[in-house]
Amino acid sequence: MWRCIARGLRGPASTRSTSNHSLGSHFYRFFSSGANSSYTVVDHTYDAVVVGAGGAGLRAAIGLSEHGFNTACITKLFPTRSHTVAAQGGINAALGNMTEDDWRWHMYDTVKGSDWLGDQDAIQYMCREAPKAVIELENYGLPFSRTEDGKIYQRAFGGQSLNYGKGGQAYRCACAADRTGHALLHTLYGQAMRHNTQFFVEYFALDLLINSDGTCQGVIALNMEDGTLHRFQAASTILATGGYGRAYFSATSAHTCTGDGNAMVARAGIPLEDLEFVQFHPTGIYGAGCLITEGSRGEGGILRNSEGERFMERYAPTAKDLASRDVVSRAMTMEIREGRGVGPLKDHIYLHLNHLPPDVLKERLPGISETAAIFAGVDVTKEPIPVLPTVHYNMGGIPTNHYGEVVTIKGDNPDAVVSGLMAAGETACASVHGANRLGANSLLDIVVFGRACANRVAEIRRPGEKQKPLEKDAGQRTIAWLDKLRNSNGSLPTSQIRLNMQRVMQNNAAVFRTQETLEEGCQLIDKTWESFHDVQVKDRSLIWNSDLIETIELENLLINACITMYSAEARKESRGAHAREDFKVRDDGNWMKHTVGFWENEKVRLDYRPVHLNVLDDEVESFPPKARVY
Amino acid sequence: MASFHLRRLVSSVLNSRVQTNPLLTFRCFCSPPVTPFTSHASYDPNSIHLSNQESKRRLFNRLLYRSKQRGFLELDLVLGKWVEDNIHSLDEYRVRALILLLDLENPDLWKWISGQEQPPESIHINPVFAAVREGVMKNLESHSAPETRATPGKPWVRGWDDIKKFPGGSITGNQ
Repeated sequence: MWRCIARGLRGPASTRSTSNHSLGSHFYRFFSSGANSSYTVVDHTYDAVVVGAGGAGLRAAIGLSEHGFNTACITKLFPTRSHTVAAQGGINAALGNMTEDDWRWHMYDTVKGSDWLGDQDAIQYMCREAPKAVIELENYGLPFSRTEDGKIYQRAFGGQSLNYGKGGQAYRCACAADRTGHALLHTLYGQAMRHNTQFFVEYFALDLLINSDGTCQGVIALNMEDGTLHRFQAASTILATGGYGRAYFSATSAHTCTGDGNAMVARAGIPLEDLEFVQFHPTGIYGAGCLITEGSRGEGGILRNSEGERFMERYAPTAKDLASRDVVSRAMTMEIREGRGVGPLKDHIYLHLNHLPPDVLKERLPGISETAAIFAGVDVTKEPIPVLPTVHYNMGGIPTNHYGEVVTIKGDNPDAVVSGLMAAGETACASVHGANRLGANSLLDIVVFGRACANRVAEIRRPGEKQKPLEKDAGQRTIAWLDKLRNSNGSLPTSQIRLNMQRVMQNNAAVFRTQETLEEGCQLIDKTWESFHDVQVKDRSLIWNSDLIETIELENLLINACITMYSAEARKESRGAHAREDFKVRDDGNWMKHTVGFWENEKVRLDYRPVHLNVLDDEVESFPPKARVY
Repeated sequence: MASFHLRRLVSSVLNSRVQTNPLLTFRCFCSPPVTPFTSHASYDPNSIHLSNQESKRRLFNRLLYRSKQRGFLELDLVLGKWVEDNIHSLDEYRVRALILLLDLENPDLWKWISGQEQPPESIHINPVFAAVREGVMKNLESHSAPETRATPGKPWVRGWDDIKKFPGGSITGNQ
């Protein structure tokens, strides 16, 4: 068992105090965990600790500091390196700057887009708070693009409508040119610095510190720079660690998206929610993950299999290559599974643009030639681009209520709050995206729920409140686990196990799902998890040991992958991003519920909690389920 | 050919090292100035010790981590791969150049490397920047017809069509 406490584990060997410039108090302890090794542990106390310094983490940290809470922010990356930087589209909010608009219409579109799996109370909260959240960002100095009369410029996005779907296209996406994510990060980071948030950069969060009554008292983290361990005690812990796209072979996510917060929660015995709902874009470059826009098919691009056949004619006789994302993605995957993929492993598809005139490529598909040349080594006027369906977003994550508090099933209460623990952003599952995310709602989620976490802490806690001391053994299991992992002497390199996992997820739990593929997937992912017991970590150092860091990230990804696979196998309906060939319709009678996946003794145990069809008040009425046509 | 000129520039910069005070040469790309966004203001780039094996391992692992974990997929791939392939053959001068490069902001760095925007002179003459950019330009020249590419210095990918240039184009753009 990876998580067994080593027999040699002992209590603190010595204690001494040291001063530094940190606002939190701290002192050193030395833990021994084996005859020949010891770990330096530094203790800190804050009112609140945020894990992750992307958009959601920064927004939470700002709010906490504004409310007077002494706040630490732990991040494995420098803040402006978080994956939020890649978000280009913008932030949805019914500001009404381009046309008339109303947050209720935004709510309707979001509920509909979620395929009714979204919690309507949380969706209401998000859409109603959206304009306020955007105006706050403007006041923080986010350089939004402007209309001619000086209002925030808003652009159109798919799935956004006026008047509950009857009023035409909505223009709801507030943007800062083509770098909204980056502008958001910079604005928030600058604001956090102004409020004296204490940053711990290049610290890797390892585990939650959960005490014997189930309260979260903080986290334990590894300082990658000097190899010391740090226990951050805090009355409130907010996880904002992003998605787990890297569990799949093809993902648009940066390589940092390894689901660390999800895994910390799962290891703590708290379930992860709705992991089966993963959003794909049909055409990511094989091996790289960079997207080739759907516009390429709109301008006449053709997908072909290894037989040179334009196979979309079989799946969508009328729309052909212009069919919707999910239809195209599933068709591609079916061709691959049936042995008609291209390449040495027959695991991708060719996108042909070579018949298009050069000026179309230059003017109407800007960046395609360049992206294909750099990331695929392909000249699009002569050769097809190798593509396959690529992970774009994880709808599932850590279950939270609309305040951002982490919830779990306790007895017959499906919404029991885990005291001291919150989550926001892609790592969280509020659930506002439900079974499918609406474009440009992801940055909104980040901002609204980062903000909501801070506001909730201010409602239920006071700055400087006395905290119950950490239990004597707090973090010891984690140290023993870290020690065991660091000294792993197996035969399989981390990179090999990771690639195996990614291929299993891509082949069995991407967009083509049947009982056969998912059952096989469960067996294969179990084998991949078993193979992790045979992992090899060559570097024994604690300082800048990237081999160790990647191995910890791999365990984190594997936990996410296992729960995803089992959750998908169990859901015997089609809904949103979870489309099954063998259960083609949505089944509200049996499946209008959230999947929760527990990670217990290295196995997945599933349970379910009800979807919130209720709204918060009488400002809006709940939207009853309506059939979605695929 | 752009790469020919780049190679001459790199060669020129490297040659000039032996004739110039290294500190003065270093100052050629000290800018952009240290800002609150510099990832470790306390980190002293002058304390590079490549002769000590352990400090070299730490430094290289740190730089590899920061190169491959940009949070921006295109840079993870291009910069991360270049550093992984080349870090063990870098001298102290170019290690410093890499450190400065890593402090730049992702959207700017990507646009400069890919030729969508003209970089500031201090970046232009940074030898690591020049080498990474050369690799990208080589790929572009080898694998794309000029008539299908954006004009050099112009941005490429837009996720939407804010300006509806073409009749019949999607109202929700090029997503």
